[in-house]
Amino acid sequence: VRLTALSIALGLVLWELVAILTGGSRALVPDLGQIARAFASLFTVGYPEGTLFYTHLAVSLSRILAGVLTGAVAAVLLGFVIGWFPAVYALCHLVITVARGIPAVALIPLAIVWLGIDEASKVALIFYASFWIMLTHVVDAVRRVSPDLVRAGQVFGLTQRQLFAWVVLPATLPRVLTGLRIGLGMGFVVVITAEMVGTVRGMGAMIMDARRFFRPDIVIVGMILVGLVGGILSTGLGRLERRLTRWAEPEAAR
Amino acid sequence: MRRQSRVLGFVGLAAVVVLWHLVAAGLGGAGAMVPFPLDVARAILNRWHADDFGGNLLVSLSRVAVGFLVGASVGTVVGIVSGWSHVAGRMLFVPLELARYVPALAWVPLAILWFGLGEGSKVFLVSLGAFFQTLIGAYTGVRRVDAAVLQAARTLGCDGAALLWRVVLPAVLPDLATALRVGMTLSYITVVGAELLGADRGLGYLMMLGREDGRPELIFAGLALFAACNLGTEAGLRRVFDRLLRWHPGLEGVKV
Repeated sequence: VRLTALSIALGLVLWELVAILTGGSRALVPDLGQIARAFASLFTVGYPEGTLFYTHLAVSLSRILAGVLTGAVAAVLLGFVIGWFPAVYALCHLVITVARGIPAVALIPLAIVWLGIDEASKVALIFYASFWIMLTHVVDAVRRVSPDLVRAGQVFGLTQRQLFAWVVLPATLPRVLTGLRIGLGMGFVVVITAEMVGTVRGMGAMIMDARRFFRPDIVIVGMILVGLVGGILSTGLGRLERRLTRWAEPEAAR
Repeated sequence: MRRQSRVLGFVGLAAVVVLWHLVAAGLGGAGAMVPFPLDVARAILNRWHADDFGGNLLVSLSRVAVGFLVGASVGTVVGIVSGWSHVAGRMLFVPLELARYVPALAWVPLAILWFGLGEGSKVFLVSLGAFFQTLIGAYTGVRRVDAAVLQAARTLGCDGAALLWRVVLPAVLPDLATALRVGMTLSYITVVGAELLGADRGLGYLMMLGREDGRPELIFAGLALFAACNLGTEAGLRRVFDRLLRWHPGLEGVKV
């Protein structure tokens, strides 16, 4: 703990030194005082003036939610079909691999051309980014349901529907949840980038705007806040996932 | 069965291309927002010089290469050191933990402020992404080195640099290999993203040009070239690591 504190202190001192040394007219590296003031101003005055940080945060989160939720529904529905029927899987697995390999970020220009520069293109990009990775996880989960479990269920005389609800669904849950968590992470990464093009609200828009008007202090504070939000989301979801799948064997939870 | 499944996979891919063609035809064909698949191929071949595909591709590739080399080598060294030394590990933990959750492309505005729109900011961004990726890989690799193996090596008189070189490094390699491959792909993603968000050259810039000029086939062409390069390097890296890791029993696991 002491070493950690020391490293933080060292880092701050180093930063301040660099700020002072490179400072002067252009001030590309704002000093700590400036950063603290920028931090406070984001929550009181807002940047651009009048748009508080909460607004940016809410806008970004609602975009993520819209994209990831629709992606999740589609991924779960399609994933069960693809994973359950080997023939469908054989037809689809290459398509999935190729599509997953196309980064959503590279699709930004296309999304803008097709869907315009507003909400729709951003949500669509988040959908795309999260959908394929979630689909992969769901398909994988279904394909890996142990045949022993299914056979055991059949022995006990379960109908198809019961088999699905009581055996297949629970057995796939851990992996599906992992997929959802990763999908949400992808959505977070993509929303920040997508917002840097052609919008004024959202966390990504905030830091890009600050660049345009030469406010390195706002850019840096914005990045720190993005990291904090990302960290909270990631650890919170990880914890939630562990709680929901505590009953599962550790191997299945991986 | 395996072979059959592979054939079916290609059938599926072909079906997607046909579907794309039909959609393009349904939406009005040439000049519309959805270009025919063939138009994309034609755009790459016929306009190779007019749109300077070669030059822009080269710019992007060199950004990836330089950034990746710098970022990955620094990341490997820092990762091994911080995994090996308790003090370094403790000191680096908090700043790295903080930086980990900032997406690589969230650095774009700062990179442009600091290094301008040219090579500097692109190389910085790519190396940053590769740095974090390899750092985490190397770090976890070192932490996972079997304590018994270390003990055994020490008992046999292996120490210091030799221990690091002959025992730790090989043990780190599997984790590092995975991290390097992921880092490579990330480098491509970062370079496209960075070039889309502000650049005057490169494939990403070409794609943004396609958007502004209303030439969607340019966007598709850029995508295709990026994907091809990424797949190419990915396959190359895999071969190299397969060779280096021939001795490793878990190779099957690494390969997937």
